[in-house]
Amino acid sequence: MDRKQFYREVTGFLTKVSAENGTPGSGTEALATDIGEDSNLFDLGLINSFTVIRMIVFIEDLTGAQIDLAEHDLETFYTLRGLYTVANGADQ
Amino acid sequence: MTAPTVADRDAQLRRRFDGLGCAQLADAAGEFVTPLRLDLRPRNGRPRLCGPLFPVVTADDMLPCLQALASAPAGSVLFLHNTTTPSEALAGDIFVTSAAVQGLAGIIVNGAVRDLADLRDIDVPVFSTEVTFVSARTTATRSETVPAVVDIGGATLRPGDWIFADEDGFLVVEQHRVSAAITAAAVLRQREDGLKEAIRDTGRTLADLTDLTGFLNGEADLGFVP
Repeated sequence: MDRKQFYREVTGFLTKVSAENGTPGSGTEALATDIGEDSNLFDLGLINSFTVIRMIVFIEDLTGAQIDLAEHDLETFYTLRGLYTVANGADQ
Repeated sequence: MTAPTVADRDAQLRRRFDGLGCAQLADAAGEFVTPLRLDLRPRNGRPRLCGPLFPVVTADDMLPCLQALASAPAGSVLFLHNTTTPSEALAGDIFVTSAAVQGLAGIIVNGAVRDLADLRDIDVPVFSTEVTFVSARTTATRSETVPAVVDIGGATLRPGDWIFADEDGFLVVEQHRVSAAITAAAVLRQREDGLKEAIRDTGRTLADLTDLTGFLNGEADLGFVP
């Protein structure tokens, strides 16, 4: 999966999660459609410690492979760019 | 670069769990976590373990236990489920010594163990629900199912699914979600640590962080999410 498509998939997922969780600010739906690839998804309120599992499972299901913990710092899971790296690792 | 083996991956997962606990797993990955509610106690001073399950069922008969010990892969957690109560001791110093040499990650006995003084020197966590000096001596009925699926304590223990234990309790995670659950728990732990540091450094209290006063006055929502 190329980077653009991956970002689109994850952004769609984040939009859905934000809407379900009623993320504070209520602007998150609009925000999720325009996330910078290095934006911190936690700081934006798009994901939190209790919903990050859903994002990880989403990526695992998307790639069909479990993520390889040894390859990544935890901060990798905070940005779209990092998540793409994770997905590529899981893809291999 | 060669692809990591299952043993490499399991070792990575174990290392990650070293800095975590069942609390973080339950908080971060609740929908993939099943608590195991049995009155299990650590019997040799090692209250933590994790690894893929290798369960077997017996009725005070050592033969299934010996079969399971012989078959359990290194790194796995042997779970001996005795259907007879009260239980005779299914594991003692010799059994656990062999488990250590075979590289097992732990032994959990829903039943009795013995030789507690000797078990203290063996670096394999041992848990049980009972203790007795009476050894199970029967070796009459071989198990046709090693490993087995065991339904107990509100959980289904399937071979290969991971069990985690620490001072707070036991929980089980299906094997295909272990990596995700541990990663999420690690992220949660990291952010919790950041919050604790912020509390220490700034002097802000939990009441401040949760806006407890605002909530009590009906002016704000309660809580923060790390």
